[in-house]
Amino acid sequence: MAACEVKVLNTWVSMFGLRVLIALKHKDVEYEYQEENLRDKSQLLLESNPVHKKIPVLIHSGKPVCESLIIVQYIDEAWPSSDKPPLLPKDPFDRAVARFWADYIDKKMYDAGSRIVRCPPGEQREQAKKDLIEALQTLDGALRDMSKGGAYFGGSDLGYVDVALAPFLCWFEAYETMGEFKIWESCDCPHLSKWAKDVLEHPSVKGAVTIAPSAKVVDFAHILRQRYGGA
Amino acid sequence: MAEVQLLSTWASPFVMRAEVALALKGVQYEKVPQDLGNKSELLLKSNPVYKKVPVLLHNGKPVCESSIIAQYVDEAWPAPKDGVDLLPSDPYGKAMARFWADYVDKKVFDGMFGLLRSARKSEEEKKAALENVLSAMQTLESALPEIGGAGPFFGGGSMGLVDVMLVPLLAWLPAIEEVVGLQIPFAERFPRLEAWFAACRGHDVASLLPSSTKMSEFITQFILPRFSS
Repeated sequence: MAACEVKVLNTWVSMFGLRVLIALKHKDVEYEYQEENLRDKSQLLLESNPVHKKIPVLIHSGKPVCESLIIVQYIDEAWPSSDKPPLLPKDPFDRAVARFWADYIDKKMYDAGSRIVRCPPGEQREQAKKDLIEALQTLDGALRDMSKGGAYFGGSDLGYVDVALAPFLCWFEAYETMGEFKIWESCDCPHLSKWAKDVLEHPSVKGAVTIAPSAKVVDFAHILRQRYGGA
Repeated sequence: MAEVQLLSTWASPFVMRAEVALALKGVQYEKVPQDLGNKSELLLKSNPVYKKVPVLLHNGKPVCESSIIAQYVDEAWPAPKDGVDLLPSDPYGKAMARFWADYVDKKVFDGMFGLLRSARKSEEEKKAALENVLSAMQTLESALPEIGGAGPFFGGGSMGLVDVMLVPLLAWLPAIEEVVGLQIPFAERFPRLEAWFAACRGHDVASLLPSSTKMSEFITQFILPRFSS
């Protein structure tokens, strides 16, 4: 399939964009990548996502799909694999469980992480760190329940929740640097900490995350702190 | 124990979504009203993360979050004899429906609750909250013909996922307008949405929703006092 049939509008540092890149890699879909400058959005971005004007956007044969988890479901359904399980399981209850945890990740991780990065040292930042650790502890339990003996939330192979969460790992060093703490030492997450190592080695994830190396994300986080954090 | 149970409260717009989804799919279920001031063991066990309603229990297995419940109901009872499918069959159509369902959940409902919260605030803040709602309604007005075609619903001739997410407005919005003392000019500015409301009012599922009089009383008595300025 021609690469120009699939286009991704993204910024390198976005964990939401990374979800899309991981899903495309997992399905062996070729695509054209367009890096966006969010302070000078392209005409294509504004036309493709007029409602939110945000990345990521997937454009398939000219038709745009927006919102990272919706894009991941679309990728799963538009390119079904014959040689590996789908990202979302077939069973409706298992699908509901996967959607629940992906939604939980959306509600808890980004917000807590953003606050750690942007807030100067103080009460707000301490609360943000507590919130992040609590979320990870909860996700540790979810992984234990969902993995059914496998290494991933999806079981024996990558699933919807793995794709939803793995990109945040690119930001962990930034959270630790800006928050002045060590994430895995601050929480009791035996399953999740092992998952963090395993998932970054998965072929669908390993290549995709090279656009957001930890050190580069840390530098970006410093800029965010300066821009939004005041003191 | 009934095969399908719904942990519910009568006033929650999120519970209303679950009830409408179940009705559209022709699924029989037992309503299990909850006292949110004194949460039951069943609720705490079924939704330990958020401890909220609605929770759908299907053969004892819990599904939480209204949009996830609606999608679950759609998938667990596919192509029902006594009901409709809530999503189109093609991946792009599904993506569009999910996008607008998410928009309703976030922007429209945020706008609606923002308007409610402004009831005890200054005229300026009320106006700003109204502008927010008008902007969301304008966006929805344009979306209706895009995904619903001739309509009257976002799902086309029959209700779909987006309609399920939006329909609690039938009960809540007139009540909020009354309490805040502002009206959204649907007929003048949003004719497709005006037609959508009329179609919902004429639909069987309308009988599942509380009257806006009951909602106004509830909002005035229980919700507004929390927003003392």
